[in-house]
Amino acid sequence: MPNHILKTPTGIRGLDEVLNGGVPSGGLTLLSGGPGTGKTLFGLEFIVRGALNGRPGILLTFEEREQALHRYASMFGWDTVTLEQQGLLALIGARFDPDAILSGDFDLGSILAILRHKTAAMQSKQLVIDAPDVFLRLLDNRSKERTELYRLQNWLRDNNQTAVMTVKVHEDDLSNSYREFLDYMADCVIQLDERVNEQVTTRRIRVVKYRGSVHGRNEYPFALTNQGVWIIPVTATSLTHTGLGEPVSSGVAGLDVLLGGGYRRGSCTLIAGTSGTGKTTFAATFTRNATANGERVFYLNFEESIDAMLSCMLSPGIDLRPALNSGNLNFVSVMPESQGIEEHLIQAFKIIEQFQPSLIVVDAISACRRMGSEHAAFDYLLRLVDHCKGMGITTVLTNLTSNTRETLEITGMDLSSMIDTVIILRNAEHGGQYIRELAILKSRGQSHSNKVHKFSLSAQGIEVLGLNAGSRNEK
Amino acid sequence: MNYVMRLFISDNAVNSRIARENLSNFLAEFPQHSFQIEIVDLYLQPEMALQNGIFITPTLQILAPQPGGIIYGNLSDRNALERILQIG
Repeated sequence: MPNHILKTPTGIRGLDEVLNGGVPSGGLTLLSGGPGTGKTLFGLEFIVRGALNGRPGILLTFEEREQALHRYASMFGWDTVTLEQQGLLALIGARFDPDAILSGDFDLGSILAILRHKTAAMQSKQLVIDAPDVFLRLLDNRSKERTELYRLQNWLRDNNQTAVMTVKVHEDDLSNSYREFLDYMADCVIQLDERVNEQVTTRRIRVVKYRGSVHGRNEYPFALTNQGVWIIPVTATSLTHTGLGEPVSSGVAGLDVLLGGGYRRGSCTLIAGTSGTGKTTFAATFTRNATANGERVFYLNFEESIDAMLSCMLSPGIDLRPALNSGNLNFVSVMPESQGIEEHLIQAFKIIEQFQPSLIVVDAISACRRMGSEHAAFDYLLRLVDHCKGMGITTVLTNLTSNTRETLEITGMDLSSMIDTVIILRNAEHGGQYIRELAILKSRGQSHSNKVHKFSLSAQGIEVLGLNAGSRNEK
Repeated sequence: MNYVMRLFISDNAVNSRIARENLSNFLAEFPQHSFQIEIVDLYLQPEMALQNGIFITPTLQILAPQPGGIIYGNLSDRNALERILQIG
């Protein structure tokens, strides 16, 4: 087996990273999944992206008519009609006359004749065969199905076609040996899966097998967006902590002193505390200050609408309206339970792509547990922070905790690996009155004060109290 | 009766060969009718498959008399031929 097998990029967002380059060139990739998991869209996008990159390709489907495929493609902004006219793409809908009478054995001879003709005319090397099970079912005989699949595979190999075949999987399918046969034939096997957890639908993709190549072994969330398929792999970014950037002011002079200048650019800061300790006030102060300095801030709020947030922040004297009016603040309020984590991620990624923020605030990550499964919140945050760090965006998260011990936890999972700085806020009782206190628990890569500091919240905003010369010198 | 039909085959694949034999044997039993048969080898004329929407070989297309019809397979089941041609 060669050490370096040739790969063909799929052009599908995130998939080539998971496949470590693409699908095997001249090999067969099996795309399996239940109905509605997006198999046809994967196949269509593979052919379209190839065509757009000057690699002609053919999609042969046993399930749809050509017109339906062209219409489907146009929903994603792909002009398959023009690509077809340019000889870069062919969509073929193979259908059978439902009134036809069956009499004896038949075979794929016609399909192979069509493929031979088309691939030669177009000089194409990329081929998708969608839903061949519709044809195979007509044969109504397992050994005949295998014979025809072998014939097809031999033809693909002899003609050096980079092929993707979609296969439906049904839960109640008794044909395990059939599946094993297909898996054995293929050089690469990709599984798509759709599941519902607590009324939230999530889609997952997993590479089960890749002959002669390393590949990402985890399950990755993916979504079907209006730009095609979007897979969200975790890159190595979150694990390789590169040097943190210059400080960005937190907007609170005293806190900047304690942090040695402010939050570090490209880092992730967590502000944690119980209810009413001022987390959102810190986040809003940071936002107002940064937007006034011309930074673009993406504020993602899982708990409040923009109007509620604006009026709430007026009492500590934080007016976010100028930030909104200047266009430097993009405030997005979304219900965690409204969609699956992949939709949440892609919504955020799209805003990041279009708005190009330098800073992001997520308020509050504790609400993310309402996104569905127990791991959903962790998955979501890991990927979001990973993505932001990869783009050098400074991230500030708030976390509502019921006690100080679980500062770094949501749904029992430790987030500390992705967080560089932790600020804890609390209301402590001293002599019959509540005093606001803050402490910096952790600050990766910079010196910081370990002391507990009092702070006040007034119409003048946040003020850290009792900062004497000693703590100011702490650098 | 005058029958017009087209048999789509693929080179000399086993099923295609059997279909040709089965068809000529069957039709030989009915000398009182006339049969016009066009044999289309998709291996040589692949564009005919796309033009006519033929994705299975062998396929027998009955063009006349109306309403015509389609048979998939090597025609080893003569009942299908009898039914669709309404002879026998």
